[in-house]
Amino acid sequence: MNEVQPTNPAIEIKIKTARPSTPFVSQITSILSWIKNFFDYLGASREEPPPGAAFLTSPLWLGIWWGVLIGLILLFCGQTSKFIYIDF
Amino acid sequence: MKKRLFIPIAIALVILVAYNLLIAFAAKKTQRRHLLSAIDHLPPSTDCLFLGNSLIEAGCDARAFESGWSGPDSHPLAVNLGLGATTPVEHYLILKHAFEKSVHIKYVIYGFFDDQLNAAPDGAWEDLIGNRAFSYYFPSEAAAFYTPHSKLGEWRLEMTEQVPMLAERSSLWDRVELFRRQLDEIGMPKQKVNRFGRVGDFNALEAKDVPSFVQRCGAIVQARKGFSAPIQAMIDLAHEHGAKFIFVEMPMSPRHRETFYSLPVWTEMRAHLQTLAQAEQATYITASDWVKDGAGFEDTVHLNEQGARFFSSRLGTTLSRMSVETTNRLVAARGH
Repeated sequence: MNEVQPTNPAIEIKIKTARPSTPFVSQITSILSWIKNFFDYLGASREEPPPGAAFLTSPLWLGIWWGVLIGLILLFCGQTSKFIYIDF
Repeated sequence: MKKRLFIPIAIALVILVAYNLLIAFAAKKTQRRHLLSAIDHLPPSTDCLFLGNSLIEAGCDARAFESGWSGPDSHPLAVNLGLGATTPVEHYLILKHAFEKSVHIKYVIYGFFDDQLNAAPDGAWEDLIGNRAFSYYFPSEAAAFYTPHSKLGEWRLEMTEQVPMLAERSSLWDRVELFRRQLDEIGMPKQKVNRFGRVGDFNALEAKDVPSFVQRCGAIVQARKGFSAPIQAMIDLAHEHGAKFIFVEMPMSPRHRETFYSLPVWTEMRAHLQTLAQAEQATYITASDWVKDGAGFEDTVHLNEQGARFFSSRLGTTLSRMSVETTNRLVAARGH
């Protein structure tokens, strides 16, 4: 949706030449794109999970995900306390 | 649709239950639990209890106290029930729990510093962490000090006590804090630590500056303010059980004495506290200058092992002499 849509054929040629052409770079780009989509879905800024991550929609995964998040919040929310005494 | 909603909620709840179990397990190893267990196993022949915060925990060596006792009586058996980072409310709860055991305690020795004896009890949600979570073990008694005559306050403590991730919430926080400190120190010089925490942090326990110390103590002296409710309750409890209550102005570092205890307001404050103690038939011992050398302290407020041995031995000697003098006075009075 947000990708630039070139209307001028000359510009399209330039963009195509500027794109990474080697298979390695292309692979990395697609992996990064998948990871971005994965986290976008986790963060609820995307409606559909990326391909191959259908498990993210399962109720089991949602329960684990939110349970772990709540646990982590409870574990780390003490940082505003002033710890003078620590039980060494 | 229902399945999609309730299954995640059920799983999240299971994880929360597991988190609670983990906290309950971690809390078993805390100092406050060890103290509770020590009270449960208090020797029946215990004569003397040391009570207070970390000043007492660090500063009272029960063996040195016993060996310093010089008198015709056999050496008293002393037990140190001091617990770091606690207030008089927790001290009262400790004493009450100790008196519930079948022991005949003769002396309750309460160590304090600055305006600890008059400060109002503070039991807000953010205060009751660390060893102060001891208050949650006896919610109705603690609530009587924090929120007197409030059923809601009592109910809040009782409900919190039921949920480990609330009552014992700091049991894992301190591990997170230690981890955070380790990360902080990467590539930095290590900060000096002792058995209670970072040495530098204990400066925060002292009054911020001289004017604030003068203001705090001056207000107490001017208002002729009595002991705080938990202190008064401890004195009453000791007397009910036939024990003598002894206040000890704990040894302070030379810096603290020069900065704060040399002020005229502290002389007035001490006189005020001595008057209050006398009115309650309690003994007041000024020991703040007993350890003169800074080498006897491990930070700005706590005695080190050497300082604790010296102070405890002298305290034993002083109390045994006072005990002998009292006995002699009683014998003389009976003779007349």
